[in-house]
Amino acid sequence: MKETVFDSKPRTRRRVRALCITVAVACCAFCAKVACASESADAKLDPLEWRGDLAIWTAVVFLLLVLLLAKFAFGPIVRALDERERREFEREAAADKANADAKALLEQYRQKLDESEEEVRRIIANAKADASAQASQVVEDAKRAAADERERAVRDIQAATEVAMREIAVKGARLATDLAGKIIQERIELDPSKSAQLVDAALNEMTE
Amino acid sequence: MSGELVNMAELSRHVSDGSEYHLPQFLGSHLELPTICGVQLTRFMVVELAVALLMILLFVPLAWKMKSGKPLRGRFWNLLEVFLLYLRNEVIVPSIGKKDADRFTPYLWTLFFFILFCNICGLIPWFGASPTGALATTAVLALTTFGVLVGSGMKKFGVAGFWKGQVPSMDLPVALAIFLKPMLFVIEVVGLVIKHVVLAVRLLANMFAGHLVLAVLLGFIAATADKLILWLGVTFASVFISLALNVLELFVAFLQAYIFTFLAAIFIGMAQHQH
Repeated sequence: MKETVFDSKPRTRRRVRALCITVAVACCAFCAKVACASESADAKLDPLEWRGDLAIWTAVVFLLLVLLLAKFAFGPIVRALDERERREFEREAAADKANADAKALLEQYRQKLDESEEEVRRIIANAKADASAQASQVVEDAKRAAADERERAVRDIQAATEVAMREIAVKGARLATDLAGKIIQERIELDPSKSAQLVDAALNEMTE
Repeated sequence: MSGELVNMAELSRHVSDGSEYHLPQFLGSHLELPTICGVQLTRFMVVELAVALLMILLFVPLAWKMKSGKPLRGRFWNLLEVFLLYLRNEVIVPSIGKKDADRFTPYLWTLFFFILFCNICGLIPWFGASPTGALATTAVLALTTFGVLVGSGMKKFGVAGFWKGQVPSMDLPVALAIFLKPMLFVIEVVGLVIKHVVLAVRLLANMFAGHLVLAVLLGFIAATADKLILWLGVTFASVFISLALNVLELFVAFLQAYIFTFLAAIFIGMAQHQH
């Protein structure tokens, strides 16, 4: 890219700037000198000088300008600004309403959320209570079943014991009878009536 | 000093009105303005006409753009809108009141920009001095404002009501009121007129003095032209001080347009809301 004097070093830029200022000052001086030297000296310097033609011209130009701009520029601009303000007020009111609606909705959602949380807490508490009750019930049932089982076992044992005892008694009795029979056989052979009495007495004792 | 080269009368040609237009030297020194229907055109007349055309060229398209209701695009149009909105919201509405402000806003906007552009034209080389540096211009602007004030006041309160309202309401005994109220009326009316005269003179004095000081500063260069060493020093000093004064003049151009419009709005507001 081609480099200009303004892209070069700051020192060069300063020199260029100083040169430009010097040239500008010289031009101003030259113009002022030439202008002052070339003009005639018939002008007056009276700021309060009344110029009727300029006054009428100014009045005409200014009043026409007021009328034209009021009709085609500033009048429509004032109406456009009023319309814009009206639209902005409406937008602001709509935004406020939307904001209020959103806040109300948010409040509703918060209430529903709170209610839901409360419901969840209640459900969890109920579930815990139900689970605890069920667990207790299961334990109770198990205990009851175990007790029943034990009672049944005890009963079975008792029954078995009784049966066993009876069998033992029967066997014992039979053995005793056999033994006694053998003994008594020898005695019966001596007294047969005594034999029957002895057997009955022995059986009664065994069965009690 | 080279009195043959420069004098106050010559300097005044660059500040006051004239029938010739100054041109850069390479285009010839002067352009004589024509006479139309027996009226000699002057530099101030041309500048006023140019300002009027410029305002039409600026604000009519701005109105077209704003009528659509869409936000303006472009720095220049937004800058113009900022001026308009500031004047309307910070000057006109507070001075006149929301209810009546819109009726006077076009007039006051026109007044502000007409004065501003006329002021600025005095700062543009070869364009001619400011028309607001002439009593005829500022007086007509003040007189127009006075006419708007009186006309709108009489329309609102009636002719008698408006003039009667110039006297502050006071609970005076009848004998004293007959004596005092006419005097108060005269004082108030004279005060009203003086306020508008001051309006015209303030603008005139500020613009005329600024341009005159600039012309005198540059005149020093020509005045010392025959003494080389002195001429160099004076030239640099004059140009730099003139540059600084031009910046100040730019500020004064805006300030005086603002003050004129602001005071006009206050006066109109006072006429709309009497004692």
